[in-house]
Amino acid sequence: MKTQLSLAGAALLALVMPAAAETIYVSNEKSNDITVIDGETLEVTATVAVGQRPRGITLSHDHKFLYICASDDDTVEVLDLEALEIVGTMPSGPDPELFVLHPDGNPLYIANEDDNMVTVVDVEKGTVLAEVPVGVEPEGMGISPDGAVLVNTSETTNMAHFIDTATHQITANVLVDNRPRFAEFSGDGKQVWVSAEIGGTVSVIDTGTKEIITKIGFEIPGVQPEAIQPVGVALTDDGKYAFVALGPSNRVAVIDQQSFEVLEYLLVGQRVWQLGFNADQSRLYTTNGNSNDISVIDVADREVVKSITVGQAPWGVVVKP
Amino acid sequence: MFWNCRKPISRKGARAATARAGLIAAILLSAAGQTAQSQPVEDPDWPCIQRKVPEISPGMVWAGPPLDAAAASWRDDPEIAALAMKIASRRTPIEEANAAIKELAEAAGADEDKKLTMLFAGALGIINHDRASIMSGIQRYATRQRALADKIERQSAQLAALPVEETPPGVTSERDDLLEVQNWDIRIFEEREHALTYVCEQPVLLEQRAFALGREIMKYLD
Repeated sequence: MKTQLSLAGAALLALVMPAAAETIYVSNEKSNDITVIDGETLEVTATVAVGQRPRGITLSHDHKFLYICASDDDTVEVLDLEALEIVGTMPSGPDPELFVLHPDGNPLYIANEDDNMVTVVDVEKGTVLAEVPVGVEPEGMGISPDGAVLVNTSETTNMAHFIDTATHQITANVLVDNRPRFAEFSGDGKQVWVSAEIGGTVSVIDTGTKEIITKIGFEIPGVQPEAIQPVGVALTDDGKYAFVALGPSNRVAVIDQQSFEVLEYLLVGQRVWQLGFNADQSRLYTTNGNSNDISVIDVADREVVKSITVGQAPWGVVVKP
Repeated sequence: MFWNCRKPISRKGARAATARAGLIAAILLSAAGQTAQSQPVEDPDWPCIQRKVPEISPGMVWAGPPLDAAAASWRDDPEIAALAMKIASRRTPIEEANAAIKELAEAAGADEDKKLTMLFAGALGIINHDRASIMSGIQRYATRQRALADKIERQSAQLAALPVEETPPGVTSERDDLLEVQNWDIRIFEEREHALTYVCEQPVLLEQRAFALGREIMKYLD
């Protein structure tokens, strides 16, 4: 009887909130697992053991699978999101850290931190299509909205490499500040924003001229400058806001995407690195590697609304609609 | 104490000890290289992988009112001072610290924000003080370790110069004695090296505590 009642309750809930099916996935690089969180209740619903040192994660185009960079296993794992089981692996090259999926859903472009390559993998066949030599310690990966241009950043060479996805050739190299970590295209594809962790800046590059339009610096009252280390970048598609994760300063900068002015610095959790929007970009989630939690930011209010404890050293975050 | 348990060391043991002494030199070299690479302008003697951050600055753990005035006055309020001491101490479980914060917030009335800000300023001051002494302890630890490594290297050079002698049962050669001493030094070095991971975690744990306290206190600010 009780079961029937709660089933009826669940059915009712499903009727009332038809769009509330969002799920948040977080990779934890020290506890070697993925935390699964209900996007509505913001409660942890499952923890799934995966390979060694999971870092970058991304969803397959059909949202059925989560691709996971298992960095210390030198492979990309495929997690079935229905069964919450690893159902396969893909070749990745050594030490995959971060990757980006082509907007069409295939192929996957993987940065190999150890061998200075970007590996291009066909996700349907599980085969390597190409290997593109880039700078030393490639990490950041951004792809233009039309999928024609891939931008990879190399941490030691301090460059953003523009790669033609049709020919797999580098078409331009743009020198940015010290240790670039992340590259993100604007919604209209006209700019790419590249963060520099040690340099402490974000370079905004014009994708047409390959010139740096501006460099955004950060200054937080009461925080020593060396603690301000920009890593993750997230841009709203409407061209309004940019969010930049500032590492051990424990802050996320909110920037006006048009004027490049920093509007505020939100205190999130300790050593914030990566960022992920939900589908309608009303919320932004941040991974906080040292406080072992994620923060939930309300984008319209520019306010931290909650922290959720996850596994050890959370790294990547994605939201399934 | 260990003089009582002397016994001649086998040649195999001696070879292993020399190999370990070489390894120690390699560990030290690689540690020095790592530090130099990741922190070009910072203290080259800092032995931890974690970057040396001299103190937890307020902006990293606090988004409430400025702490300057509160940092100067929290000691003058005995209740706040005692509470700051309590919540800053790692002997106090964090749940207990949170309960104490809640209690103060509920009892403070109109002074709530002022008192809570003083409480955090006090707790952060105490944590930073403890953290500074832990960090200078780590520095001393590293200096001792470096000195011991130098000593082991000198012993290896001395050993290489000493002849291997056959001695009657119960009698040890000069070389055996020196090997014995070196074995102990290596053992101490290795145990300390092993403990370093734990030692280096201590400043990080204090940062986590400061952050957790700041976050909890900010919940009650208007």
